[in-house]
Amino acid sequence: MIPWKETAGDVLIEGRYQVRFLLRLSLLFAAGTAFLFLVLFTVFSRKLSGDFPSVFYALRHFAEFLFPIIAISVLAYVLLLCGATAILCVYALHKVAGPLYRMERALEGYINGEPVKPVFFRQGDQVHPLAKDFNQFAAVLREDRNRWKGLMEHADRLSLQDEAICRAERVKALAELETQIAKYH
Amino acid sequence: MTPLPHQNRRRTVLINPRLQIGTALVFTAVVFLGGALFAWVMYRGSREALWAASIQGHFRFDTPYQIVSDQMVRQLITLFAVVAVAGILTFLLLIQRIRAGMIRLRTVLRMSGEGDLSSPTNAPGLQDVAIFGKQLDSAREYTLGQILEIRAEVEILRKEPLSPEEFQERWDRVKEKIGRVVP
Repeated sequence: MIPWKETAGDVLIEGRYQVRFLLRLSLLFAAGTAFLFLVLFTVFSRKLSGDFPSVFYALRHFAEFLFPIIAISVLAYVLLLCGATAILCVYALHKVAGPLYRMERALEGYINGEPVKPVFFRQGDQVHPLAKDFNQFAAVLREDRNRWKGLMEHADRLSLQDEAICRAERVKALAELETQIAKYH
Repeated sequence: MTPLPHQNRRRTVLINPRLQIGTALVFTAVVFLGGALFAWVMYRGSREALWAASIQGHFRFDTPYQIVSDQMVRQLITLFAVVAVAGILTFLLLIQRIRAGMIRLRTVLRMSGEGDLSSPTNAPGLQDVAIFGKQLDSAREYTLGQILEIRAEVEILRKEPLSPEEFQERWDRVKEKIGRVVP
């Protein structure tokens, strides 16, 4: 029987992948904050000129329009950052969703009676151990199937002799087959 | 043939919209909440500062930025820190949920290899992993069905007094059924 292989590198989601994602995310957040700073800096850098009453009214007037100014700036920040984060998520989670998708397709094909091909990995794909276990499960089943088939073919080869021997060999093969199949429940 | 539950149809970029867009939406919520909180605090603080400065108009201010710069920078740094920490925590939580489900899937695959095709997967964590668990259960159930059919035929062949013709027919049927297991 094929043994379940356990290797030292059996990590579902690599630490390097996680760190890279978090660095990119932090960079995006930093860039978003810098963008918001630039917008607010530009808005707040309007020159104040004139004497006391004109500065007084300019500041009061500016304070009244503060809410829409800040709201629009923050909205631009949110939209920009959400777009960038969405692109990052779609790109980075490709590496997790891809193997899952290929395993789903393999299962779908199996139920439809198509040959089960091993799930392959692309560069940087995560969840390797799961896909490896999946391939190993299919390999174990296939190995058992071949063994059962071998038992029956062996009995068939002996059936070239007389009928009584043939039947006895087949019954023996069936008893062995029943024992081997009994492991599945 | 029985279709798998919850089939995903591949897009060019979105392999799994639930996982990829779902995660992006969680980050969007984090950014939106952080932004909304910042806007509220910034609005209140700046308004007060501008009103206070307008009364002290005898001090020279070239731009409103000079009035609000300190608190604006402080609040922007806080915004970055809060959103970054919340984003990192969200991502770590997501990874933990993916891992929890995958560990269960691995256990079930190993159990299946050892013969247990009937215990349900019930994968915890993300919905996508749970759905994959259900699809895996369907495939295991399908395999078990095939094996049970073979077992029933074998039992008949061994125990029933069959004529040579019928024996041969059933024998061939068993071989054909075995051939259909994991083609």
